[in-house]
Amino acid sequence: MSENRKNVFIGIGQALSAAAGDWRKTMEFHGEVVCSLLMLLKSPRKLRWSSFFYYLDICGVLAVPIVVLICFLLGATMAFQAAIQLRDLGASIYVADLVGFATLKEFGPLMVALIATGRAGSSFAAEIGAMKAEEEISALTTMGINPVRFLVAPKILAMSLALPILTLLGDIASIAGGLLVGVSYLDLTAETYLSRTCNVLSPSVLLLGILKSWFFGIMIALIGCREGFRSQPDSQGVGRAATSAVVRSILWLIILDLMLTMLYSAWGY
Amino acid sequence: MAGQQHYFRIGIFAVVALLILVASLFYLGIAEDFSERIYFTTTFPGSVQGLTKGSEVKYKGVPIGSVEKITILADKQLIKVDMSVDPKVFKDLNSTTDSADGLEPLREFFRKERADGLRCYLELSGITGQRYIEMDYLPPEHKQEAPTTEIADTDEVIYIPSAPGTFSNIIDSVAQSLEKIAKLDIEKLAGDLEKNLEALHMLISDPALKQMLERLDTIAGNIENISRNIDETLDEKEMKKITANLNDNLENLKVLSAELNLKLQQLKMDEISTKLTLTLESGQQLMENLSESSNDATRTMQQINALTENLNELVDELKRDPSSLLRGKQLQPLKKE
Repeated sequence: MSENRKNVFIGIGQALSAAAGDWRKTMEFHGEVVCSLLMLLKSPRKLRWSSFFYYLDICGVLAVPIVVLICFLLGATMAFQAAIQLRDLGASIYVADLVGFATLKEFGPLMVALIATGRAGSSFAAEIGAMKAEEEISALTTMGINPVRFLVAPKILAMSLALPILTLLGDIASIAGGLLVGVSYLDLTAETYLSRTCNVLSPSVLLLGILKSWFFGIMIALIGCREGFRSQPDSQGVGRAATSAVVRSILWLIILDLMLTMLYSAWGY
Repeated sequence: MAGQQHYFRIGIFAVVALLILVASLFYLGIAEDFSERIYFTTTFPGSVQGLTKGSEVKYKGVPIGSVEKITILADKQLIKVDMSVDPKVFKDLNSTTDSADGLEPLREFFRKERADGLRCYLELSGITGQRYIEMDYLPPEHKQEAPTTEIADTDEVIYIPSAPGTFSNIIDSVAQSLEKIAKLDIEKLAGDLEKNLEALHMLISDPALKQMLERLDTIAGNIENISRNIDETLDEKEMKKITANLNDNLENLKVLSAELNLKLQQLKMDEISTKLTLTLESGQQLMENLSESSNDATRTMQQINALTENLNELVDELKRDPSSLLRGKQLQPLKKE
């Protein structure tokens, strides 16, 4: 066997070994997070509440304007596209159905999660990556402080609360965007549009969308933190970790969204 | 101070979100899940394709509730549909203290209306194939029919019998018309008609008949001349002349009559008479067939006319509200008080 062929097989073996090792470390990280959260559930006072409120402010409150703006524009765009098709059929009122369902079931949670990925996911990865480069993580471990409980738990809890709230605000903004198009472009009255929206939507649709965003929030925080912990301890490694966090989060968001949608469909929603 | 600002923002964020959540849930009708409902059941002998759990229930076009459950009564080969209705839609018929839940007057109202012909119709909601249940009354001509009682009422659940919907009526009408048209023996009718026409043609083309007609035409011409002469000249001389002419004509008529008798004898009158009888019988049979066909055609036309009227109504409705093609008949819901 030639040397080149040997090198190819060695390369494949190394890649598989690295992937398996990475997969194992990821599972260890997830296990550590679950244990930390269970421990916090048992004794909530051990949570760094100041960090929790800090991240709630950064990831939640400060994201409100951009979330509302983007969702409003998304709702208006959806309504406009639907209006072009449905107006010719004399079925303009169905714009309310389309915007309402699409927003609450799918685009609201997904769009807010994508915004949060860009804002929080990359931020978490960069923050932890920088701490790792500065050896702050090692210092915490040396001091006997569990870095996962100290750094990851507040982020996950803050995201799991912030994202459902942002999704709710995004849903309202998106319906408002659809309403604007319905009233201005389709000559529907606001009362008719809202009445139709109310008739076709149910509380379960809203709550299931919000539940979806809760899962998304946890996943974005997990991936962001994990990418931070696995980053190379240099400035370039921090940059790569931030990029990787965004890309992986988007990929897993879509996969999780598909799985949840299939699960909801199986339940009859 | 910065910390206080930070907590203030989070507080506003949390409180506003909570308020929006509660308001949204109430706006989307979460309160209805906890409100009192009145329950009905009905059965359909045919397919309920397009009707699902959550489909609308309307009373004269006004949404009043939804379908709760659809089950099959295998022993009776019926589809049982359970429905729940919001009692608040019915003004002045609830919130009394006559029963434990205060809904007895409403239940009594529905029992009375059922006796007056209230039925459940399975109607089509636009072209999407979705269906809803319409509670409406039987047409006056059918109100005397005794309602079917497949399921007995209970204290909580009222049974409302079903009746064929508008769409089913149209389909039945078309099917009946087509069945009647299919029953007509068009080939036999056409064959009889052809035979009768042939017999008539033979009769008309007989030369003896043609000669008789020519002679009759000549006589008629002579009589016409006489009549004209009488009108023009009424003096005595002319009258004598006319009388002479009349005598001549009468003589001619006598001769003609004798000739005609002779000719008729030559023409084998028995044979002609038989042929004529046969033709008349064929004609009579033809007329009977035509009469029967005409009656069938009239009935078919009446059915088609009814169908056309229904379609005209549908087209008018679509002109008024094109979107109803997709979402069905929509009426303004009653305002809750």
